[in-house]
Amino acid sequence: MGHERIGFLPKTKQWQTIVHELEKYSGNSEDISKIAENTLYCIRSSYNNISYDESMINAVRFLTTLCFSASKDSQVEYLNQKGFCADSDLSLFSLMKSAEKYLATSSASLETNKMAKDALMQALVTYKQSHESEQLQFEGFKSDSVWSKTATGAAFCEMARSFVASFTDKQLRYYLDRIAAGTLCNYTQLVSFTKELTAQTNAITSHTSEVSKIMQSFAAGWYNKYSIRSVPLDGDISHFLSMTFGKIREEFRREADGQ
Amino acid sequence: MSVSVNNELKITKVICGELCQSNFCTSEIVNLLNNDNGEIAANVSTKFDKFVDRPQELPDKIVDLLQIAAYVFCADRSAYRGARDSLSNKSWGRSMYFEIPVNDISFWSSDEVIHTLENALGFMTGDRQYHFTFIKANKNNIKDCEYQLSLFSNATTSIDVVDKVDVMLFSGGLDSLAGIIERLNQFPDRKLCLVSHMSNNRTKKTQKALIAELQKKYNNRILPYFFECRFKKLDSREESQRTRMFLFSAIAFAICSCYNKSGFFIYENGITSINLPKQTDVMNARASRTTHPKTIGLLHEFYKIFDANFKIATPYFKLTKEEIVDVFKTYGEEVLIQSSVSCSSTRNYHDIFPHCGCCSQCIDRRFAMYATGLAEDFDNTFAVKVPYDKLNKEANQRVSSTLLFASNGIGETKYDFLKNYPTELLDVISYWPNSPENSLDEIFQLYCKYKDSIQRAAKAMQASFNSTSSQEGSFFDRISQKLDYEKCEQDEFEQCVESSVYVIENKGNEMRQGSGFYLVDYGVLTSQHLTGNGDFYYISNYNEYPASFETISNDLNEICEDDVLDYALYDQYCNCTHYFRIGDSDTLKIGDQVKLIGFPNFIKGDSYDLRCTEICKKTNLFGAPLFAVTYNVFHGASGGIVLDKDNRIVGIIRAGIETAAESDSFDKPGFVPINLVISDIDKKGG
Repeated sequence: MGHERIGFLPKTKQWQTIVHELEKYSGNSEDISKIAENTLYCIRSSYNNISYDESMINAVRFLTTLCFSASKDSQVEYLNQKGFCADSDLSLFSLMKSAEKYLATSSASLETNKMAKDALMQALVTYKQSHESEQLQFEGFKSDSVWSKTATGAAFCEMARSFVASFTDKQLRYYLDRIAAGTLCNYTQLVSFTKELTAQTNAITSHTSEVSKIMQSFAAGWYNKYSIRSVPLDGDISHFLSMTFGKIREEFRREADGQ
Repeated sequence: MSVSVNNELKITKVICGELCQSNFCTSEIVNLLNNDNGEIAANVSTKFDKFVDRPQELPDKIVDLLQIAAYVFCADRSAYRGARDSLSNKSWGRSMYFEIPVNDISFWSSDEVIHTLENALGFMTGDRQYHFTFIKANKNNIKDCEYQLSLFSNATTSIDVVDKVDVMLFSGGLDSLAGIIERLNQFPDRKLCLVSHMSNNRTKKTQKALIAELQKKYNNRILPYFFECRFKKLDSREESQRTRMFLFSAIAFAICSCYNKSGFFIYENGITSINLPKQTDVMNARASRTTHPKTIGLLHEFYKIFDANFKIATPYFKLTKEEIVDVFKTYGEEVLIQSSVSCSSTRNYHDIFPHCGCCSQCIDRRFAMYATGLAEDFDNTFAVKVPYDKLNKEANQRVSSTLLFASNGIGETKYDFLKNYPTELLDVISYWPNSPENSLDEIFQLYCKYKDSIQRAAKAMQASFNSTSSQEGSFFDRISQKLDYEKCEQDEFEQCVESSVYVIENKGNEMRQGSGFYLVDYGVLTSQHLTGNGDFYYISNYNEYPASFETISNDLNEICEDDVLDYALYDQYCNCTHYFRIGDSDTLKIGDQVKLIGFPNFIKGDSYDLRCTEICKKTNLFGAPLFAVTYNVFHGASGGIVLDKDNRIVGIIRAGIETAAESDSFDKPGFVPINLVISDIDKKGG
């Protein structure tokens, strides 16, 4: 009991190049960007398709629905009509359960689905942590629930950024974790690599004005239209994801080139 | 414009028993028969009938359950889940469609039964889908057979004895062995029926040897039941065996229901049961969920349809493996440890040393044994040179991932933990016997115990291994690197505190004492309420106190101050070689862990006062924003430094109390965020 099936990377030239880059990793952020950029290049075909993945679209729709619900008289009722299973307190626990239910899939990639669920839940916990003024609660009553104040473009941007950053981090780790611990020559480098990869992804999604602009323009466009339709169409969401992930890859490339 | 990026789903159709038209298996169609069907020879061998004393009395649905479990297990081994170097793991999540003949069709065709079974299998395997179609059987294969030996058929087994028997699963590993020892000692008038799956000859040998030993020691109070379920003339295509628990539990359930038992026991530690993945690609049950709380919960829901009062008890679900090893100590049974086998590696099997030392089970066992201090004397079962030889890449990967997981992976607070493993923890919490909030606390505590256990083990290993015999990249080398890394970090931390966090006091009649620290590029920062009275204050490194090295005062060298934010900045550069860097207090959130360092009630020879605490509230004190923290802060800590989890400065300690008794009257211990202070300093031209 307690078995683990760990994966390996294919022994193709392009993946072996990444293994060699990891072996040479010296702890600087350019190394990280180069490894990240090369990884995204190796998976470019599936990476480009992520924007059309059912789980990814559902994750963004979940966030827009959550934000939009805050403008409704009965937020919980509205959410549950839209496929959530929120409790009357809109507890973090019930929102995470809702995310799990909302993203359930019978045909999309199970691997992308797991990463999308993780990233979405992580975005919910982070948002709650950032906006809660009292001790965080996983369950229980909060009369001034942070979720009742999310009917703004800013709230959506914050959660979407967090989701995209977390998903990108997981996407990179999905491949790199298979070799990092066994390839990096010592423990100090392993810790450094682990921390830096997340820091770099976060920095790219937080501080890159291009990425922020895409999110803001999507949120603004959506808010301008919301009186007509409650949440954006799937096509709009795909377009948004495609632009965002495209820009993130471009940023990794720029960082790797030292620009 | 939603575009499906998924290719058409590949379905594996599994046709069973008398429905089979052949016994061939392909990747699309698997034919499984456990009895010859006319000219079609059986390709599955089960020995379920061994425990059936009076088969005619066995309910049809139990007979069906046993056959279904066997077919599911064999189908699992027949359908390939893809190569380990598959980039996308697309084949891992299979869609399995079963057609199975059953005797009790009215029971098995119920939506509740089908749905509950499909759910349980879906979770425990990580497969995409299980779909069952049950068809009324023409034959009753088990009941129509000739019977062999029965578990309870020997002369000594009367119904009275059966009343005093508990049923538990037995794998031959440490946890179930500890469970047996504990139960036999705690309930000396009871016997134990051990249900074991003989997956290979090595396991069979181990289990039989252990049972013989236990029979001797515990006066024949063991009733062993070994079951077999294997292919006949058919090769296994997939060895992950994630459905094993269904087969295992079905046998135990059948034994229980034959003899009116209302439940069975599974002894497995919580860490192994939850089995959080140590690397990102290990998802969708690639970290097995054999005894996962949700697997057990879903199986329980399934078995409750047969018997509403049925229970599956997991007494060790809140314990670590180290605590399991302690059970052997408690009952003086350490000597039995080396007869148990945890290793899952079949390739590296060695007669004398049954543990390869490289698979995840061996690594966990090794850590637990060293943590309890029993490794050297009672578990000399690992391939001899493993601590010193260079590990292969996979083993290196496993050892390093375990070490990293036990330090960084778990996180400092329960919300870090939740963010690191949201879907995994949601699965556990949903089946943990407590409220969600308390469950999260308990699971986090369990993992904190695990973290401590790995640390204890690493130190014990370092103390007992011989560093001169070690090669680069060996198990020992990896352990040493981790400890060296932590020691460097700790040394650096100590040097920074010694050099850049100060005791600040005046030496007048009315002595006032507090804390301060060096803020790089700015000077010495302390509380305005401490030094604002115009006195001369002396700055001391705590380890040189009462000797001071500099003096500060409003008139002498104050750069700026603010009584609302409660800080005062002095023009002192202190020549400190080690200091903490400035962090970003804007990123702090409720629930984040911070370290508060100061010198409350300091006297010569004292160390610094370090409080690792959590931010519990954002509030205001005397008009200034304040992050309140969970622990008390005492007078004298004011002006002290506040660090985030990366040891970057995020605040200056503000409020405090005189004594612990005061804590009720003043409940806002906390700190002022550093960004506010710096912004104010910059505004004032500091």
